[in-house]
Amino acid sequence: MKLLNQTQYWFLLTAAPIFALAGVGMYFALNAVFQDFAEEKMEGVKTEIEAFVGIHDTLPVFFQSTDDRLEISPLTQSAGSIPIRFSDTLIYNQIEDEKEPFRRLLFPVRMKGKWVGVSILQSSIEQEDLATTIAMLLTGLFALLFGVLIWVNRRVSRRVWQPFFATLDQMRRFRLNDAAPLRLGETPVNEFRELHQTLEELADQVQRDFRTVKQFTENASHELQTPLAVIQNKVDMLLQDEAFNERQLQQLNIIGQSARRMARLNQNLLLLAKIENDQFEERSAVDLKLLLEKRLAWLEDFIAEKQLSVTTELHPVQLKINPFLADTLVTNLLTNAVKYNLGAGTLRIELDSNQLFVINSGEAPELPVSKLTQRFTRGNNQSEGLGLGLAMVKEICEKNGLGFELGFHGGAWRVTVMFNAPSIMAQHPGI
Amino acid sequence: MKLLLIEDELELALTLQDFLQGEGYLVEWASDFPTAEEKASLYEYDCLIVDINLPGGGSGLDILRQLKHSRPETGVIIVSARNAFEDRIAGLDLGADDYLTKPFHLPELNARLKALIRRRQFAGNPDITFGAIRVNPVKRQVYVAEGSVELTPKEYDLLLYFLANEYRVLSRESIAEHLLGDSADQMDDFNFIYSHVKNLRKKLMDRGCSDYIQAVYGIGYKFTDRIL
Repeated sequence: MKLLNQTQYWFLLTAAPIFALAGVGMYFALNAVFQDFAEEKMEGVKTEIEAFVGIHDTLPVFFQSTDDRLEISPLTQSAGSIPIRFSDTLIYNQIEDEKEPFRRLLFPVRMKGKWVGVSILQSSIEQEDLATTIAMLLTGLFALLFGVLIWVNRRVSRRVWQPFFATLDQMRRFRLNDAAPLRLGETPVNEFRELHQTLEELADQVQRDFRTVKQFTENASHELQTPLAVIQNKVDMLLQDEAFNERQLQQLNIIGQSARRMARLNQNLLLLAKIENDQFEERSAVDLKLLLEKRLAWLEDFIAEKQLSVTTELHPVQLKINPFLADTLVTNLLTNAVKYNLGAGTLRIELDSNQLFVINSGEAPELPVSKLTQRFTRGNNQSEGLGLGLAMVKEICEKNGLGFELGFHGGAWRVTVMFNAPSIMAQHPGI
Repeated sequence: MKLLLIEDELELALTLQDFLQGEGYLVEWASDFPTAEEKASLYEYDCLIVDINLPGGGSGLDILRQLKHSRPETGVIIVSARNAFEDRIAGLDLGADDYLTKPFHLPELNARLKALIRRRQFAGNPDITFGAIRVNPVKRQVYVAEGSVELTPKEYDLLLYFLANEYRVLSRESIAEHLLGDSADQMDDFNFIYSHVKNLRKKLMDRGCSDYIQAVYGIGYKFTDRIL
């Protein structure tokens, strides 16, 4: 939910019952005020009637309207026992054919030596109508005002939040690899200025750290390669030494192999780190078909050794990707498909504009397939692989917006790389 | 043959120096940028082996740049850590003749060095001979007792690697890397070398050549005419 919608939602949620309550309250308040007026008027009429009767000893001839009337009824009780009182009553209206509410004031008058009860009736329907109308009008007016307020608020918010979205956009485009620091520009609004300041400081800090890590990665690579190279070269020298017997030479060779394995591990870990750090940003159009054919040719010795039958169906595909990463991706996929294939197994490669399939016969996995893309996980324990190949493939796919799927069905491994995976970057919809 | 080895790691430099001197080269060593710069500008070398990362205010690429300006005839082999692709491209763009990534096998350096020197020596007989074998590297042609031997590209590369490292034990890993390049370490099983060796041996012996390829159990092969 958008921030603005959220505030307006709460605004509305609190305002609506208040409006309803205010409307109802207003109705009752107005009604009471009108009733007071009516009663005062009726008291006045009562005084007038009493005065008239005092002089003329008869009731005045009143106008007979439907609204106000005068009624005289003989009193059964003694005059002293009827209280002067107001009451509500319903009287049938012939014209409207319905009962209408009236206010009645009953009081005793001594006329021609007898006490009679006189009641003044005043229609209260108008008063109620009036109260209802006014209450509704005012409520409507409030609602209108509220609507206008929300509309204005929306318009103003859009303008006020504009710098925020501009900042968000800049943040989204910001890359750690950028040489330039993040600069978000001046703004007169305090809150945004503070936000910019904080973000810029944060970005500077992160960029600094990133550079340090990058530097470390490169240094570590250099520093680790050197001792490994020394071991390697010393072993090369010692292998030529005729003072060693066969067994000793073999052990020396194993030291050399281990050093190389360590060097490879180091290189692959550094490569993974570099991929994760987006240090391969430079992209160009890579001819995937050519790359696959080249790598397949490169693997011919291993394919022949294992007596694999290879089938391909390759259509020309250009992919915008870092050339080195493309090569790493293809090399890892194909070497895996050959390395973990069965003797006299099959290897099938399909490439079209949508996807790349690498399908190879192989042993069923001892581990759940989903685990195989984790680092240092091998399909089976006899394998000498480092368990980094698939992790690297997955990482490359993720960094380049490619879909990646791995599965084992019917005795064959199938790797799918999808080129048209939905872009991860969603457009922000604005406010 | 006079070489300048530019390498800041003492142990590595000593090993390389030891090895190259054993191969009959005259080796001078510079361990930092100023020394390397001075030596490269003052003296004449047949070949420079240059590590890119150097202490002392400059990189191997700077030395390469200067050298290609002042003495373009000198051969240069760049040595650098793996995964430094920019370095590799920059080095070759600046006119380096070859590129090796650390860690490398000494026989590989030897083979590259010999190939480089061969390419740079226009005069004289470029042929490589060993016993009855003669190789013309310009035509990529192999003769045994003047009869030509047809080899596949890999068999030819293998033979040249053996010839560059005669009388030396070559591990299967080192042979695989020579034939397949750096990416060879992606694979673990180098049994395929056996079939290349077998074919090469057969083709040579069919022409009446003695068997120079000696298997070294558990390690690899040795190209020699000395019987154990």
